[in-house]
Amino acid sequence: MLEVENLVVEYNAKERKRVLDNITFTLSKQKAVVVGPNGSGKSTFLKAILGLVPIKEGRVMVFGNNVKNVKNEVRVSSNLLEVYELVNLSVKDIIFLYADLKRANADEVLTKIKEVEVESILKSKPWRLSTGQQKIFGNVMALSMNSKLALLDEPFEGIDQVRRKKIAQMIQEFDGEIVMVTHEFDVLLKYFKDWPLYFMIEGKLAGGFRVSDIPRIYMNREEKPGYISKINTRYGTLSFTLNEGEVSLTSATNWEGIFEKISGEL
Amino acid sequence: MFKQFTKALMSSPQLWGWGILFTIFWLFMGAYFFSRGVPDSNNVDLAFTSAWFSIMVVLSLSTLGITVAFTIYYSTRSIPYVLKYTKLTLNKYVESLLVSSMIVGLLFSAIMALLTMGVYSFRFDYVLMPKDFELLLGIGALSSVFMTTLATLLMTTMINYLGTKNVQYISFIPLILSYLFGFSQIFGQLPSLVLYVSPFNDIISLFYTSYSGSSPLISYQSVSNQSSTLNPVISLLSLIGWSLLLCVVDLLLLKRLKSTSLEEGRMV
Repeated sequence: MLEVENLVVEYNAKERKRVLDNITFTLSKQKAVVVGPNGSGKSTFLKAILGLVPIKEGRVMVFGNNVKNVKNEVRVSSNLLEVYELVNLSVKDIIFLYADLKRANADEVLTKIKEVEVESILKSKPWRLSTGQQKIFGNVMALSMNSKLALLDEPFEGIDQVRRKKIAQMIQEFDGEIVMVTHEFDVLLKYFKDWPLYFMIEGKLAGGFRVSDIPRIYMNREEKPGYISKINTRYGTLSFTLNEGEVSLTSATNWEGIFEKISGEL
Repeated sequence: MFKQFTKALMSSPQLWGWGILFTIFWLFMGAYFFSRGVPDSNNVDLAFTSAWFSIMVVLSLSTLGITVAFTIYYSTRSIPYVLKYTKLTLNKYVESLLVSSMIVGLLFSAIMALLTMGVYSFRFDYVLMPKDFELLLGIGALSSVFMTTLATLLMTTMINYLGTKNVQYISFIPLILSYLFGFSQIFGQLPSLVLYVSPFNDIISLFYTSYSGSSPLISYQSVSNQSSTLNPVISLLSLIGWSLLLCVVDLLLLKRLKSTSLEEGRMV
């Protein structure tokens, strides 16, 4: 259970750069995906849920506890590599360490590593792995160890097509809640069609869609009649409609392309 | 989790390189360069050997402080995570860090004692063994606790209040202070008060006592004149006091540890 209420996160106390702007989001026995261009605040959103960035305003509750005060809550996990850098050891040693700290079984992680056919990473130190290998390691850690809320940051980044399928299968079969952030539409449409979909632009969140709606979603300048959701950006208000509108989300291969197109339109 | 911390420390090539190999250079310098003019006397040989051993081992252990400082720096995001989302508690984390440091400190002290014994026995043509090996190991463990708590204090202060841009330089403070106080005691004459209050000189004094079996000297300028000595009990109490104080402050600072961008520290 995840409840985010009016969350505000600012970086750089002097300049007060607002990275997350009044985010409200609830996840109950669900898996949801947040998409948006690079630098829109998606990763910061996950870090705020993990309590890794200071929360300026609002609150984040995980399984009924405020993240500011939460302790020993083993049901929350993430694929962010930085949370597994407690000691400078091999991947295998880190798996056993975190299994011990989470009172979980390391064999589950090792089995998943074997399934993805990356046993060779076990002897390496995490920071020496390629981006794709780091993601696989993080994903496997997040989707194991008795976790019931997995926070996945770009889980397919740098991973080849064959292993993407295996990771997607693990994500689908995960017995718990997931918040997944990505900027890739193609992988979503391929594996996660029934997931609730949220857009994050300039630290603001808009929802009300499913991944399967992506081919029918349009982005518009200003508030288009019949819009489902809207976000106020530095370009003005952007609204989202279904079936008709100004710029189709499928008119580009990824979110950056669409955003560029809308920016160009503006 | 002290086993994993110990494994990580023991597998650090930097720690072995700077903590043992580089210190051997100074050990030989003491034995064959700085020993010129040392009077031919068994008592003086032992005092001279004990003095160099005590300085070398404090330099060796200060590299442990540097390694611990970097360990904390690189785990600045994982520490808040594991305290929130695993069963690890802050006390257990600090305890594991200290126990693993003690194991490494104990081992390094033993290695330095054996190396000193070998090199200086060869130099003076007879066996110069440490008089109290158990005390030596105990001081090694206690000194490593001090170095670890000092390194933790420096790093958490930087992360929480001063930013991490100069983190590379700050982490070397234990080594710099060890050189400063160590060589000041050998080549200069520090007041007794400084020798008691400075934890670096406390470590040097206690290692001297463990190797020589006699009270630590106020000045090593003239090891043949051993009339001016320090009380090792006061040095021990001072070192314990410093370690306890830093440990309490460390716990408070780690409780408030900010997650920081590692990139900021790399942009030096």
